[in-house]
Amino acid sequence: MANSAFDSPLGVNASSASQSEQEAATSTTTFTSPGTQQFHPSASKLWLRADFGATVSDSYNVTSISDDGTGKATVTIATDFGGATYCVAATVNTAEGSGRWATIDNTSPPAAGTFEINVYSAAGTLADGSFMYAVAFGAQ
Amino acid sequence: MGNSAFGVRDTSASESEQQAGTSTETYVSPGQQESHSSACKFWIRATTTGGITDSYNITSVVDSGAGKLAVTIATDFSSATYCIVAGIVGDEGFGKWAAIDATSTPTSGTFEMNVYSDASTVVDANFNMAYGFGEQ
Repeated sequence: MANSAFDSPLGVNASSASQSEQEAATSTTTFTSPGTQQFHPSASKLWLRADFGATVSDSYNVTSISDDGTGKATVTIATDFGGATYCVAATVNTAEGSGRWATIDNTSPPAAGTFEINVYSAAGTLADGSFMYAVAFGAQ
Repeated sequence: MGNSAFGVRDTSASESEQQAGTSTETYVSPGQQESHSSACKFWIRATTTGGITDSYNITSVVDSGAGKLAVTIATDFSSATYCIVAGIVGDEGFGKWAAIDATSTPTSGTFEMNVYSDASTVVDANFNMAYGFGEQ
């Protein structure tokens, strides 16, 4: 991403931090702009809320979700990660007493641009809930 | 762009510029950093009795029964469709996990967290944690 320069107390031609500068997170002579804030390691790279029919009700940096069957949904990321080792966590929204929980599937392991959420019942079988949530961190 | 303490051509990003997430000609100030879509909007660590041990943008937590905590957010989301991810601190050997309650549906400013045992009953954990993402 190109830098934009303007006058500032950081220097006559202080510029907005590039993606790599945000990822390195060491510069004190560039400024963070809205267009590159998300590249900092502390920033989430995606989040979503979706139902079990693959309808996304709210999200950031998510292209789509596919319903892969009971308790299974594959998330397609808009701007991919730089590898498949990113951190992703999921939680399920479910009726009180239903005992559902969410994990990330390792049978279809996460790729740079996709991952699968699995939701289970307390008995350990795949089961739907009301909504699923996920958030992820890593370098793009 | 207007005048600012940074010089004559620059200005800090507004809330809407942060939410759009595209400008490279405005700078992010501490007062608007959280408005970016990538930013966490709240986080919390609380005891089972509703004691907040650490938090960001949380007003209060109420113990609403065994394994149930009702969380009130300080600066609300703009809708109820925000993302919540939750977890617990629990003793080794006790299979517990967290979920967001769909019976007490999340609103823009509140949600309820449930903790389950592997028998699918609602039970207390040692500590409860949650994070929220979305637009305020």
